[in-house]
Amino acid sequence: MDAFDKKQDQALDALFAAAKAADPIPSGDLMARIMAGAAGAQKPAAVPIVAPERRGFGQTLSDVFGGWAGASTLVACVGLGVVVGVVSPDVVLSYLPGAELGLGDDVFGLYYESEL
Amino acid sequence: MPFDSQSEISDDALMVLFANGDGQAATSLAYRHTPRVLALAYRMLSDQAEAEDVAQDALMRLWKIAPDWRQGEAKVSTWLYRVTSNLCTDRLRKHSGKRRPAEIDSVPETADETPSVEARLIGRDRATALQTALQTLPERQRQAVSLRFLQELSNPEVAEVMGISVDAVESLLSRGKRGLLAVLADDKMELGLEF
Repeated sequence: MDAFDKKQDQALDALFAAAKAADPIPSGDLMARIMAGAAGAQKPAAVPIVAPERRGFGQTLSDVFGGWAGASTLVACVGLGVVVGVVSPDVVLSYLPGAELGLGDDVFGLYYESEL
Repeated sequence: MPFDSQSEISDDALMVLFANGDGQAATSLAYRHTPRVLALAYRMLSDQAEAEDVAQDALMRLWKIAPDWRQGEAKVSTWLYRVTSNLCTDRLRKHSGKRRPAEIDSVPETADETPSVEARLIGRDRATALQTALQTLPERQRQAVSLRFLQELSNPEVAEVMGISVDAVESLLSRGKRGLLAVLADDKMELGLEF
């Protein structure tokens, strides 16, 4: 590059620098129009669709009795009733007026007979 | 920085966020790219109102392509420059024969913070002279010169935007610079230039 070319490049550099300093600034109106365009083109934020969970029979049964705590309490109470009925049938029969029964007798059948 | 509050996020990531409905991503992309898109459009069209219309149109196309944007394939800035160039070319062809050179009154208000009044006046005169000279160049030369020397893209980036080879870009730039100097030769004393 000779001296003449260098001067030409320097002159052009000065002109380009001046032009860059004079670059137009986006007006507020332009930015508002651009943002309005963006809002119009933009889809609303996607909401994930969650498939309903498949529930098994055991889970459904557990829900009916109020979950594992409720089901456990129910099983414990039934078990206790059976034990009491087997070990001390007199206690149970004391609630059945006029009945004297042994282990294995038809408790409910006799009860109804006694009522008749 | 008020113009880009998500400056640490890449353009590609912002495009994904925008496509997913993030309004802030649109703001960041708009404030990041609108100034350079507007500047290129103004260099090409020499008309502030038309340049603003082109900038709005270019950004609108960016919003529309966001859901299909392929990360890593193209830079958002390069894509926008290409769209802007094409939009300007369309307008220039529609208005062919009706163009007029830039006038001092048509040079937009800017954020020029030159310290002295004299320096500001010289800078304004030079900017106007260059803008006028640019309009005398053939469209492709004007586009190449604007992208390379005013938007500060590399030669390969200019080639990508214009869809031509780097050799072709260098040829356009060489002829463009010679053309500018020829047009500005008569005014070099008034512009404080020596060549």
